[in-house]
Amino acid sequence: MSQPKPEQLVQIQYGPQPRDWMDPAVEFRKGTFCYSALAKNLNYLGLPNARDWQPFDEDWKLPPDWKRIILDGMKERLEKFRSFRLFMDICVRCGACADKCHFFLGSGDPKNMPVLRAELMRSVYRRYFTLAGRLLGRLAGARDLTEDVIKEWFYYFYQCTECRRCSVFCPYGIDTAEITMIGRELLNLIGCNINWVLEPAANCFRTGNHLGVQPHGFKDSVDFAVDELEELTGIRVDASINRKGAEVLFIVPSADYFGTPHYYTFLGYLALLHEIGLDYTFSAFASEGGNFGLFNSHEMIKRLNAKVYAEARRLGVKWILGGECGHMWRVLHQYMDTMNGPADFLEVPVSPVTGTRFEHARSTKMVHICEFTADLIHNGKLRLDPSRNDHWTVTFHDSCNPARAMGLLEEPRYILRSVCNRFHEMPENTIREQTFCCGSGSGLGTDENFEMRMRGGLPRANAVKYVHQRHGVNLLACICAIDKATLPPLLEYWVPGVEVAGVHELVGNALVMRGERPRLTDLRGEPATQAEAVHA
Amino acid sequence: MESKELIGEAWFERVLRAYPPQGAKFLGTEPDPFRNPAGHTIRQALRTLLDELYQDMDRDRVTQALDSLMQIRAVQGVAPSLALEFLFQLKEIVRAQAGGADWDLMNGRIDDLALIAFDLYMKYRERTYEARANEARRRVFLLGRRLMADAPPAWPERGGR
Repeated sequence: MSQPKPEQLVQIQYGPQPRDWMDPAVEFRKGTFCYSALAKNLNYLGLPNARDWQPFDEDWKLPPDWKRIILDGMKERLEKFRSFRLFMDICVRCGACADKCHFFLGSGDPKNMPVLRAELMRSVYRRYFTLAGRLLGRLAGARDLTEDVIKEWFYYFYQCTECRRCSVFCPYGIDTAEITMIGRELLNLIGCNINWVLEPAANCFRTGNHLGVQPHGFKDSVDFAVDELEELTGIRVDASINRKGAEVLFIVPSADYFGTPHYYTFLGYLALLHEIGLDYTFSAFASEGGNFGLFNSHEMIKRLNAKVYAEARRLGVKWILGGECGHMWRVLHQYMDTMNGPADFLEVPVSPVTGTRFEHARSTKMVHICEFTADLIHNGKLRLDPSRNDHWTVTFHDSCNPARAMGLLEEPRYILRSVCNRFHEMPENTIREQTFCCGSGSGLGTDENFEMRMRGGLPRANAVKYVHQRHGVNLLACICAIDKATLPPLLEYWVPGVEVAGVHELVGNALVMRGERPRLTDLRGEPATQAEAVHA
Repeated sequence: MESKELIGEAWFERVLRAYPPQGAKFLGTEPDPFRNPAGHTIRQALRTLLDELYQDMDRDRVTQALDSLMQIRAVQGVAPSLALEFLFQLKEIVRAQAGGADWDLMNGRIDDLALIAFDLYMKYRERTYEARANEARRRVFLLGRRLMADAPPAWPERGGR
């Protein structure tokens, strides 16, 4: 072959080859997808097509009749969920959602526009379930269901964190997260699922929590925290487990007693609940508020959630208090009541300290700890010394689910303003109901997906960077266990110098407890920045 | 319009061609830095780089601009050669549009930028590895802490940042 001439060498085609969006080919490049679920976890949960495979394999070992299974599954869900049929039919492709997805903003990949991500499924819906699609095919935006389409669904439906930011902007109220949920349900029918979702789900089913911690391990963890809190404050708290007849069952995400910085929030809870003398107990079986069934199927949500009311009934409590977690609260707030309720054996929650009746939880009987604490502060029941948090300049990240799925916007801010002296908001279009996702929710917070998570987290980190540079913010407070696990690496990459904490860690720092000794450190064991004021 | 501005526009447009067209349109037009962090960062950085190429090549300023670009490109799933391609694309644009400029000087300066950018690209790739390792340690934080009850109290030494 002759040598190319210099002018031929410089004939470079910059940019990607233009491609029709209907072309389903995707490249599984390491760092940008999650590994497949292990067969043992599928078997444990009784899910179909357990096998060894990986997304980058050529052959996904689908069942022989996979196409029929998917189409039957779609048909069943179109009949069962009116919302799904509506969402398939009513989108006019106005584009209001197009630029609202953090994965689109961080990657520039148009198939991360919520409208186009949904089109990946709508095109199949049109082809098999509408007359126009059956007759006109591609002209009507319809396409055949092929193995490549399945791979594309897997790639993009496990690239949506179900944060629902796009749905805030849709003039028709289409909830794209629900399309992703159905997409994942369908993929599950043929065994295309990810381990980071199914392993926690299998563990939860077996031991009651994501980590597979057994009751004695749970007790060890709680006892250890009680010991540490005593070292820090001089006060020994009583954190009972499985105690029948307690007034309140307290359920937290399992990361709170195993990971950091969650653990300091857990210490904060223990200090607070001791100080107000709440008669509460943990359950070693409902030892997890999180519910990875939400990222798998509606049936799995129900299966994993059932333990909450079952344990409340067994222990004979009056109502349930829930810790800082994101998707846990979407399930508790929007699904639990209808899936496993009515909890008519419980009472409408009433704070024994303030007498406040939590009417909004009249049906579920479960109160968020931020609601509970904000009420305590509002009624002047806590002695707080916000100067103990003076080493932090704080901003608040609205975790997607508490913000958008349950409207918990003011309570955490009210608490933060009470326990910290320095608090600054991020720009308005990045907080409250417009908050940007951490980029790792809905089971995507796994190590092998790291690069994709950094892309998806760019809009969040960018707003943090702004307040870091403008106001010297060095702490991002949040109320979600996944946030606490995944925002630290996100900020380590994009905004070094900003740490992550739960709201109740800061409450625990500021809380002046009766009989405590002067605090030499904060709950992290970091030396106090100034001599402790006298709290007579 | 001055030739520098023409070059700036041509360069920005060329850089955006690395993204699929439907995405590039948004990245290139949305001015809000919080709605469009990637596009905004790219535009600002290219402007700074071009200014410095025509002025004194202040090393701090060009490093800062390249830093913000490489931070984004290092996690956008492209090979290092593609991540740095935008600097070599500039040569072609400058040669075509800036007839009167001292081409040798500009050529050398762009090469300098490329060397800095190589280092920054690696800095951010390495940072992803560090962040991944630290994340793994945080996940089992309490386990390690219980196993090493006598370890020093400073938590960064026990796996935190």
